[in-house]
Amino acid sequence: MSWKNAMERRKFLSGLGMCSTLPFLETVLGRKVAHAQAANKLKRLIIVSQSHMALGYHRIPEFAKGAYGGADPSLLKVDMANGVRIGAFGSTPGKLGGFYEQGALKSNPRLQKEMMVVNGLAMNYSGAQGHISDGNGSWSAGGQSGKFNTRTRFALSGSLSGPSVTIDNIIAKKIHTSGQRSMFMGSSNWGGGGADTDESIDANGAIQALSGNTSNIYNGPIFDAGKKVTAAMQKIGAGGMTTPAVPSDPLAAMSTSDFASLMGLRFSQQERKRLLGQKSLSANDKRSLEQYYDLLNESLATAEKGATSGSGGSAGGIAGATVSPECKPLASQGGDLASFNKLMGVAFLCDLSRIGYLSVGSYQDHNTVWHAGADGDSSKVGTFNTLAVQVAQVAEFLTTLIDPATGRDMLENSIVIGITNCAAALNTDGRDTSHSYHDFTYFSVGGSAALKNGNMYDFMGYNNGKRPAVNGPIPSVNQYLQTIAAGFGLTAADWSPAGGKGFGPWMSSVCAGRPVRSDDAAKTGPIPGLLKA
Amino acid sequence: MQFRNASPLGRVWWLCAALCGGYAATACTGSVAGNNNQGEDDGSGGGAGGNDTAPPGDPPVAAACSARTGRPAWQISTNTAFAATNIVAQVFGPDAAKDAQVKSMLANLPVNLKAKGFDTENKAIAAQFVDGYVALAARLATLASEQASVRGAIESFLGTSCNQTTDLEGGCGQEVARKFADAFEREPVASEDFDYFVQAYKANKAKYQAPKAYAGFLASVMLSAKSALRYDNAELTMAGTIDAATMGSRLAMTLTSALPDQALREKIADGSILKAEVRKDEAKRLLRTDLGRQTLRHFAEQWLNLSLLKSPPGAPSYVATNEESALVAAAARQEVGALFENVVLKDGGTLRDFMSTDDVVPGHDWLAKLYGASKSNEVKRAGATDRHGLLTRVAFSLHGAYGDYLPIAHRGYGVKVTMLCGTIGALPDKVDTTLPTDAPDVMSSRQFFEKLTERGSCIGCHAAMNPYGYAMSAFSVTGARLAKEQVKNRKTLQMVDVDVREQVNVPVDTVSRSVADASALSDVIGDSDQAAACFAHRFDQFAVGVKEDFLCSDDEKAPSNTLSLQDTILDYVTSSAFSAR
Repeated sequence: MSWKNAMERRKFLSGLGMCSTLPFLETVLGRKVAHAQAANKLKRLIIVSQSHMALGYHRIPEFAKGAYGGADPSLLKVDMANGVRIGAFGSTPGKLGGFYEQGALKSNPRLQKEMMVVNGLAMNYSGAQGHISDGNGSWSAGGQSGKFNTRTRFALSGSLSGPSVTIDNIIAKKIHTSGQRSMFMGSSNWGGGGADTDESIDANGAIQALSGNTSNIYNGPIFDAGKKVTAAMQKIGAGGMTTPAVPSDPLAAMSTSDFASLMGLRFSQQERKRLLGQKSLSANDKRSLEQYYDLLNESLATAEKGATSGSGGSAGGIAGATVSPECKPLASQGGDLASFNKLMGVAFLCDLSRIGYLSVGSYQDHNTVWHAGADGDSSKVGTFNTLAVQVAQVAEFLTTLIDPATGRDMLENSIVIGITNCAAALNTDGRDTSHSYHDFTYFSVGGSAALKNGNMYDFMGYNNGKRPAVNGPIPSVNQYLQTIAAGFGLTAADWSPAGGKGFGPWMSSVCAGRPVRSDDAAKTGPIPGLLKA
Repeated sequence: MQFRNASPLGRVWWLCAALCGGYAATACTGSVAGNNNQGEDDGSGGGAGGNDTAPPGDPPVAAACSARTGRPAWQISTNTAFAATNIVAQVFGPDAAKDAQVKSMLANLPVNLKAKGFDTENKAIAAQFVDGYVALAARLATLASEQASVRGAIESFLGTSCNQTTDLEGGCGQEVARKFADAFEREPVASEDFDYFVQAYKANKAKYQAPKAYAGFLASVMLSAKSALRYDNAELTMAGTIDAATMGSRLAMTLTSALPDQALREKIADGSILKAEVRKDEAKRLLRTDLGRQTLRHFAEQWLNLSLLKSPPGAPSYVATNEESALVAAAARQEVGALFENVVLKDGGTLRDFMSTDDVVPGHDWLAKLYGASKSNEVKRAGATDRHGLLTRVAFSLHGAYGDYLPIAHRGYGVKVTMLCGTIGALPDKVDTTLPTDAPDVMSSRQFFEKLTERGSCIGCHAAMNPYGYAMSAFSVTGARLAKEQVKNRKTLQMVDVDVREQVNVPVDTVSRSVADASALSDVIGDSDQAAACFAHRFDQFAVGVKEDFLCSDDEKAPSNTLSLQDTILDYVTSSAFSAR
């Protein structure tokens, strides 16, 4: 299924082999097709959970008059055939909801291109509440305060209300190699709550409880107090992870398409001086030309860098972050988010773990900020926004890490998903204070190697109020999670093994006025149109 | 009427007075929420009474245009995806147009289609378009360097014959290079730019061989701002008019959404395109080219707000699947475009001919069944006797339903705004969408909207749009003509049949007209000077690429609805407005 959605820059710059960045550098660096194919998969997953919180209304454009937070719902264009509205975040992500311009999301174009929001997913009512344990913990055991093995992971469970595994566990088992296992971190020092142990999954699916601050994690089985880091460094030094040689004349090795675009981009800057010097230009015309040439110049800068140095380190990365940290022992540990990022960096650069999970700061029970009336209370918005800020911080850090296997930054093949475990609600006036199963939302940054990022996809889970529906069934949360798993190369055999009922079997949900995919979950699959071919 | 025998832009004066004098200046306290893109929310505002008394018409002519002085200048803007598609076919030929990557790139260019207005309105130089265009240019350059057939198509477009060469150093190759640059930039390429192209080509050929250097040249030309954008920065001639290159570019872009073809380029080169009679002949010719016909359809679909037409519901009781539903919508949209093209290209075809049509284009079985005609993509006469008039076509019914009711206000809004250029105020901050408590248990859609929108906060706007929708209340959301409407008893929830009532008074040309049904409404609009003026207004909007509320400064005389649609267009491209800087 092909969606004529608006394309974000990166897709053109990277996915079509035409001008610069990814394909450009691939040809410059002489990479092979198989390598490029491998780059189409996700490799790392980071979950940021806002424990026992609900979705803020400023995350979902409200179609009569815009979302809380000043969003412009007209930016979402209707794809009638697929029953979805699609809007590009572009350089002003806040226009799709105040949540999306928090922290670095507001100003970092790299993150803006990597954002993805999937709105309007159906779930069952008990799932929407998020009050029910996934079977590995209980409400009374403190799950609401930041423990990862209870309801904080509810949004990853596919609306299960009984014991089951969550999608991060399924992915962990699949993508980890021997000796790797997922990291869980949370600390009362940065708001994650007090008790912070959880289950870490390795390549065999074996569970091990790990203590959740960075110091304990570093001294635990993943890093073994740095011994595994040292071993990884030796492996890299022995040629286990090498950077390909740069050809003597990168332009000769370049594809005709890349070459043509480079030549065209160079000419545009030559032309720029002459056309902008015309006295006959009106102010509007001058502004239009400057916009045009600035956009081309941005592409040219990346292309020239790759063509002349072959370093490749700047691919898609933020300005100034072209030199990656290396795999080396962590000098110190701390209890803040920056410490988590450093630890995550070592884990990823040394390839000791591919999944991280952390609880967000500024924990606040949704009963306080939402049931109490936060649907229009601006004083509470900051609490919701903490999730966006921390997801952005993690994602931005990933842009500074260069994947030694691709020569490009890690954000493109890593995905940071920010979750809450309670749904919002939209009734006939667009909101209410109860839990709803109409309109669950996932927010992520990263993973453009596999996902069509840069957009909000809205399936409009509720049709009898301010968010008019398009026709056809809407996808469920299960399908979103399967989509992410598929991005990692997993198939139904992984999340729905033979004899099972599939990941997140659907539970008698009805979305008002809308048919819901209520058949056997084993028949469902990833949401069409979100994954790149 | 007051604007007999006048040129198209003269409608501006009258139309502007009608538009500016009343509703636009008066705070409207209700509105159809959005449009096609906003989904079906048309019941949220107020409404007109359905009591067959004349609802408020357009305001009297008033000198209310002072706030809207001056036409906007033609200006540099982003190109449209539609034009990019046309140019690929025009210059690079069928093999390039069929290339999977090219098709994907064109499909993924921002379409710019809006629920209301024209794709040409988009003035911002969007990153998405520029990046997509860069990718497209590089792919086309690659195809041309690798495939002789693509080079052959280029040479055919340029009117050269150099055996599909990639070598631009020879005399013939130089001719190809210069003509390509001239054609793409739509004016003679600047000498310093051409020198740059030549030097870059020679250097690249020496190091990387001719095909690669050729691709670099093509991409360089295509990434020129003059090629990539709708570059309208006219140089004035000694006579104070725009230059021939700009005039030719405007003509080609307006009528074909493409580059000037060879015949037009010759008229540009000798300057004769600046002569009105030559321009008129060229326009007449361009309208009949394949690209011209496609552009007419493209215009009509946007003018009539059908570009984002909603599909009929994809439920078994309507159309089996979403995919099928989308096909129905596409066929319905294309039908209107085809009918429009047919009338425009028929000498003497008027707005009345278009609005009062008995013709159909049943390009889908669904349409064929409703129209009593066999499936066809050709214009043919409807077999059904209840399909007189454009507003009985399926395209004008497919707007989804408001709960259990037909989208009366939404349809009315469409007629009011798209065909009569009426304006509706902004949606108030708070709208009471609850049904008054004294509403009957059983109501037709018309009765429902009468009741729903009767309140003071709603009636202001809904009085101006609902009546047109009442006249169309015999058509279901899937385009079927109903003798009776099936609605739900609000108390028992049982479905019951109620009579359909279409008779209504509608405001057209500042007077109240009684119409019996959608067919009669079609005729009334076809006879309307206001609608004729609106058509000219919309075409001007499309050409210049501006939003609707402009055009108050032109002092030309207004035309009547007896002027053919084709002559309206031809008069426009020979008017002073088209030659303005």
